[in-house]
Amino acid sequence: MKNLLFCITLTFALLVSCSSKNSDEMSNAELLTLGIWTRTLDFENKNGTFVEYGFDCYKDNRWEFKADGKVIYDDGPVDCDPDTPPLDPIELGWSLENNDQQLIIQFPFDEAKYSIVELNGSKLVMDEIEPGTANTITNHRVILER
Amino acid sequence: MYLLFPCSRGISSVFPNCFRGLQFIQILLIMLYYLSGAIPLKAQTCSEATLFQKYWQYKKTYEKHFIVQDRDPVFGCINDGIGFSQASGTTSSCNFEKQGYGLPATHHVISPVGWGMPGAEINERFGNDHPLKDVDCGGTLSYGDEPPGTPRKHNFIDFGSETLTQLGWHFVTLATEYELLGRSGQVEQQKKVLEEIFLGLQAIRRLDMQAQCMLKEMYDTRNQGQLICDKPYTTTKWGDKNPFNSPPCHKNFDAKINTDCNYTPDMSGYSGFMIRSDAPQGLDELLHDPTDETWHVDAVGGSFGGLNNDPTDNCDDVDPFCFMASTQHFLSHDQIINLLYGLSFIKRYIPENVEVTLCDGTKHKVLEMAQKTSHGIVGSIAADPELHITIPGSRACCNKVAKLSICEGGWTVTTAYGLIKTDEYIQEGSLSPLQTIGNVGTQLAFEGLGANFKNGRDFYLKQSCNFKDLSEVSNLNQSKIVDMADKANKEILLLGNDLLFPGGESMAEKIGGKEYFMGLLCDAPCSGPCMKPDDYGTNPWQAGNWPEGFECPNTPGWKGNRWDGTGTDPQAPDSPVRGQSRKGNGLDYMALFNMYMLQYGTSGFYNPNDPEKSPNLSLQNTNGILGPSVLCVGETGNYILDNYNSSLMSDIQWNSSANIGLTNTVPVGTNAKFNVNVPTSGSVSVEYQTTKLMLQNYNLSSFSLVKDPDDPTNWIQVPHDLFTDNCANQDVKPIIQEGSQFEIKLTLEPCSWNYIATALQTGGFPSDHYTYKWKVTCENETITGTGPFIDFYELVITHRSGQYTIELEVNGKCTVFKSSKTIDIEDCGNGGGGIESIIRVNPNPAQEWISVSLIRTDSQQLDEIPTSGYPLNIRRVNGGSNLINTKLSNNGQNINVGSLPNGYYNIYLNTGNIQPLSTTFVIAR
Repeated sequence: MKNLLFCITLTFALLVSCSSKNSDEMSNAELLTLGIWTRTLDFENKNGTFVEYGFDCYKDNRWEFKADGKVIYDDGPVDCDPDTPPLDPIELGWSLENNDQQLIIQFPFDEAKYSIVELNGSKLVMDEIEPGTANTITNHRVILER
Repeated sequence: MYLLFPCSRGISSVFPNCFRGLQFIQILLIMLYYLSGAIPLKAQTCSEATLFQKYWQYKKTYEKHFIVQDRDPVFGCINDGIGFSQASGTTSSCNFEKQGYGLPATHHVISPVGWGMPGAEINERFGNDHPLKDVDCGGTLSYGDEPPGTPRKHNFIDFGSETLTQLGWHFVTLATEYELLGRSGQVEQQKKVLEEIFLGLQAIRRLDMQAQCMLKEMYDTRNQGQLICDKPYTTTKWGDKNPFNSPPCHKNFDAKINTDCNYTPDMSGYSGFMIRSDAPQGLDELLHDPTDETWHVDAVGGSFGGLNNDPTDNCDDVDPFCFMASTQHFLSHDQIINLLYGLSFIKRYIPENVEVTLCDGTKHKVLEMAQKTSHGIVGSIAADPELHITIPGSRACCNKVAKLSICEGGWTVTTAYGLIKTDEYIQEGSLSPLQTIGNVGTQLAFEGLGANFKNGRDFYLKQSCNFKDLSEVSNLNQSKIVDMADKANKEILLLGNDLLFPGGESMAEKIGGKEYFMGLLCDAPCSGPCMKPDDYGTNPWQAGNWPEGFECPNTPGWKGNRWDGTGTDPQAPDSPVRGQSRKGNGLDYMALFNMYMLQYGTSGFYNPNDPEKSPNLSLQNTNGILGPSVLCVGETGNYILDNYNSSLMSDIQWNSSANIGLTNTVPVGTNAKFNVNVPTSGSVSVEYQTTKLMLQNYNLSSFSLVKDPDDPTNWIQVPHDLFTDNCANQDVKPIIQEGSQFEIKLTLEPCSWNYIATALQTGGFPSDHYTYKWKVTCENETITGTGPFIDFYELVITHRSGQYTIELEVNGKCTVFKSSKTIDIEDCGNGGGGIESIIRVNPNPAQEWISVSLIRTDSQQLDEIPTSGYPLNIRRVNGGSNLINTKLSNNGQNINVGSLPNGYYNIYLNTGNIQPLSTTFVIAR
């Protein structure tokens, strides 16, 4: 009986703890779906320092995370190659795992996992996680801004 | 060809009286045919040995008919495979002596008029009405206009647009063969395989250099403001299903030249831009087989073979660069994907430091070359923000960048990520990895577009199987990939992924594993993948002098290049090569067989052309030749084929190793004698063809449809013809010439009660035909034994310390060897350590049985064992559970250890003391 009482008390305490979260503080899911992310930056870890790489025409690529679990990725206004037709937007899936600290991008035949380093209303910093491991890949960081 | 039915499909038109009712009779006849055994029918068995012999049959055909190597015919060493020279004082005039060398042909096409020959339609070289008949170019190529009675030319060897893809499979086959040979210790054969990989990599360098020379000539000969190529050549558009809105090909060749730019060609061979093949007309002479009309080669197919810029002949000359552009003969991303797949296997199996040495003494590191090749190709794409394959120099030397378009396979937006990640795999551990990683945009384009893009699905599949460790992908996505591979007929990619990423969950198992892949291999025809259309020799459009005797199983799935393209049957209505009679190069079978052997093989792989150095001959039939396995010096042995049957076997060829001479050779057998008078070994082997009957599958169904002779409005089903598939066999008989020497080796461990004498062979060659006699004597008491060793501890128990004489007699077929040794033996005294008893295991090492005894060390006598026995357990020395639980009820009790694999084991005997007695023994079989 003592154990039962302890469990009930603990559960209640946890519930109170969860519900005591500041209602002004937005969840990661809410932050992601606030609006379109209009800037995409790639960084490579070189000897411990993240160095930006990639071409300018990729940096305006846009992400729109939707509440229904879809994410739309498009080429942005600056076309890398005016001689070729613009790419159609890509519709993929997204979800959060590990206490909302990991972002999963679901592809048709695979998925990519990112560890969220920083997320607020204007910036998402995430490190790609090596497939099949819990370790963060240290050589690829992606930053989305809006 | 065995024609079974007078009314089978091809014959029904000749015998119009065949009627519908015969269909039943035909089926009945088929059953009777198989059941009666009246007509030769080789048993449809399939084993690793069968697949192995098929592999070498394919390899022999491949090396003879599909590829030319730059190997010195006298010394056997290799040259550089390029043969580059440049006339002095010129900058754009290049000469390559070894054009086409080191490249695998895709097909050998049998055609009365060269129909379908890639490149033939260009330059009007062969005329419009008759693709290979060109009056303007008389003397250079001539087909069909020889005087009556002259054998007509009709075949071509295809070095077309898929040459680099085939080169990728060539690398897969060779790199896996290199690994398999290494596992069997066939170092010399490994060296040859490594040389062939080198020559393939040199071929890529040569194609790269060829492109640079064409570029240099193009830039040097254009005027200011002139277009790179002055006409678009084609307005080909892709269908509406193309998501990129059907852009025309070659649209980007309208870039204008800026002559201020002095283009400097990169002649390193690693620029990353190349043509797909450089096999010229004339290479066919090196692949031509005048002894078999179906292997005649009369021309080289492929755009380069159609290129003509020789000002001394009568043909129209063309600009080489724009000719390559017009025929889409520059590198495309699908060719890159397939080439990188092969380079990945080089990375996987070729060690970093292995080198080849050329005839001129120069040394080259093969893996480093593969890495530089990948680096050059992928690096140039990754450096372009538009992810195009671009024309080198156009960024600086033209008013705009000239790019290969989508339909030329030049836009890599959906594949670039896979290319970059595959390059990472290839570069791993190298000193200069490509300093870029795929960005998130290319990753999403690859995963989101490439995977869903109908025409790109095969690219996505192959790239995913190349650079991803699929055992790390979720189960759901693994299932999707397996399903994709299955539907695309690219099951090999799952097996390949297991090999490229060893460890973890097997993808190959998910599609059926060993049994599945063995089934695929068993289905492949012995005579090679091929295709014979049902209108062979009768199609009016193709009418000509078709070679007689061309037969071809048309085996579903094995009609050539199984792993390429869309995976559809080439006889499918939308196949671009539908109707073409052709033989495949067999790389599809060879690559799969080697992968199978690496993953599942239970026997040692070796080159049967070098059997003496093979660790075993388990994949060849060593029981097929009857005759002595031991010859005395000067003796001649008679060897005959077991189960010889002249109606089943043909083309019987007896061979021997270098130190054996053959005499009185007839099909059924031969005499053999060693030509040296020293102990040695050698072999007699026999190669022969056997036949098996296969259905001629003109399409994927089991029957053909023909018009009913009685009712032309009706169609009836008729079984396909049967024909014979020729399978190569090689039996081998290892032989030794006796003259061996032995010595007595003693193992004396008194306190362990080991007193063993072994007959150690010190000369000659191991054989199981010797018989051994042992006699050990001490103070007039003797024990005897047979076998390669004797354990005389029982004599020591009786006599303890003293002088012992050990005599050995070895009887061979021709000689008797005798030896003796006298030794003094001191027993163990009190056994030391105060231990009262020890366990003795005999023999040690053991194979199937051991004898266990308990010996008192204080008295050096057998201990007494109660009738209830002592519990006895056997475990591995490194622990684990008991593998054998039994009781020792009497001294010398035999215990079966046949269930234990080779290794070290501890035996424990619980005699009731606090600590059980134990000792260690070895099982070595």
